[in-house]
Amino acid sequence: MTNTEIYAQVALSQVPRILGLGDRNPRSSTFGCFDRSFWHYRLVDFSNARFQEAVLLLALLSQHDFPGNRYYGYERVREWATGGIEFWSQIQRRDGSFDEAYPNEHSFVATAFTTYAITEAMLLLDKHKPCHLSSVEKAANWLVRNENVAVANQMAGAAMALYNVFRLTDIPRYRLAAAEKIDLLLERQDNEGFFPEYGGFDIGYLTICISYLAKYWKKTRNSTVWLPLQRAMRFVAERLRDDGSYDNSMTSRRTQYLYPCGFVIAQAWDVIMKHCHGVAEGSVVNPAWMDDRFCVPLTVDYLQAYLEV
Amino acid sequence: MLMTTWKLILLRLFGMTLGHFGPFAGLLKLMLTSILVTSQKTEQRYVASSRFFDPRDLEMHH
Repeated sequence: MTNTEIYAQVALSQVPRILGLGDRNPRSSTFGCFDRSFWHYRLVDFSNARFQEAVLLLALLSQHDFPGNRYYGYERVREWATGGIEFWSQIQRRDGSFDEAYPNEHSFVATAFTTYAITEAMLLLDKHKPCHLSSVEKAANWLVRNENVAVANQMAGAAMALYNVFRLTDIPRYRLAAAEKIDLLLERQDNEGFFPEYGGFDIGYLTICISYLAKYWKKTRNSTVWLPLQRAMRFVAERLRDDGSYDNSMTSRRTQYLYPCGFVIAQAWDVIMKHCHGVAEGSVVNPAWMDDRFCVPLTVDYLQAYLEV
Repeated sequence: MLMTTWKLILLRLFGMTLGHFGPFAGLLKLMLTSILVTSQKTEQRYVASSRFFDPRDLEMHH
C-alpha cells in the first residue's frame, strides 16, 4: 500500500479553480457550462464539450465523504453537477456528437470522454431526468456508428462510455457495442504491450487507455481484458524512472503526464509508489501545472485513484 | 501553422455550411489530422495536451 493521499490533496487543490470555470448561476442561460471562455469571457462562439467532464468531479465530491472534502453532502454541489449534465445535453449536435475544437467538429474524443464522465456522474448521483437519458442514448448511438482506431485511448473511452450507457438503460446493444470496441482495441495491441497512438507508443495516452480499460475490467470482470491490461502496465512500469517521470522524447505524442487510476485499480503499486513520490516531490506534471482544459480530466482521475484505495 | 483571421473565417464558414453534414465534417477532420499530425515529423506533430512545464526543461541545452 502506498500513500495515495497526495492524489486527493492535489485534486482538492484544483476544485476551486474548476468550480470557477463553471457558470453556477441557475438563472443564467448558460448555467452548468464549464467553458469560461464561452459563457464568461465570450471570446469563442461555441462551448468546448470537454469542459463538461467537470460534472464527474462534482459528483465524486458530493457523494464521497473523505478527509478534507468540504463539498461532501452539499445539495448545491449536486445542483451544479445536474446543471452541467443539462448544459451538456443542450450543446449536443443533432446526430448525437459533441464539439471540442470548432463548431460542427463531431469529435469522437469529446463524444466518448464526455459521455463517460456524464454517465458515470449519473450513476453516482442516482437521479436523472428522462431528457438526459435521451441525450446519453443519442451520444451512445453515435459512438456505436463511429470509430477512431488509430487512437487507442479514445477507443477505450468510447467502450467505457457505452458500457455505462448499458448500465443506465439496460439496453444490451450498448454492452455489445462496448465489447466490440474493446475487441478492436485489443486486436491492435503491440507485441511490446502498448496500444498504438497514431502508429507508435505514447506513455501519457497509454495511461489514459489503461485507466479506462481498468475501469471497464472492474465493472465487467471481463477476463479477456486483464492480460492485455497487465502487459500495457508492464510496458509503462519498465519506462518509469524512480521519481515517477519518464523520457517522452521518443514517444509518438510527446505527452508528459500519467493517469494513475488504472494502476490503482489493478494494484500496480510499483508504478503508484514512484508516481506518488514524483507528485509529492514536484518532479512530474500534475493537474495544477496544466491548462484549464486538461486540468479537469486529470483531476478527476487523481480523485478516482484516491477513492479506489 | 498559426491561426489567422481569414483561416478562422474559412473554418467557421465551412462549419456553418457543409460542416453540418457528417461526411464533410469527417473530411475536414481527416485533412486537419493529416496536416497537423500524420504528415509531420514526430517532434513537430500537434498534440493539444503536451508542452506543459517540466522541471527538466530548466536543465535542457538548446
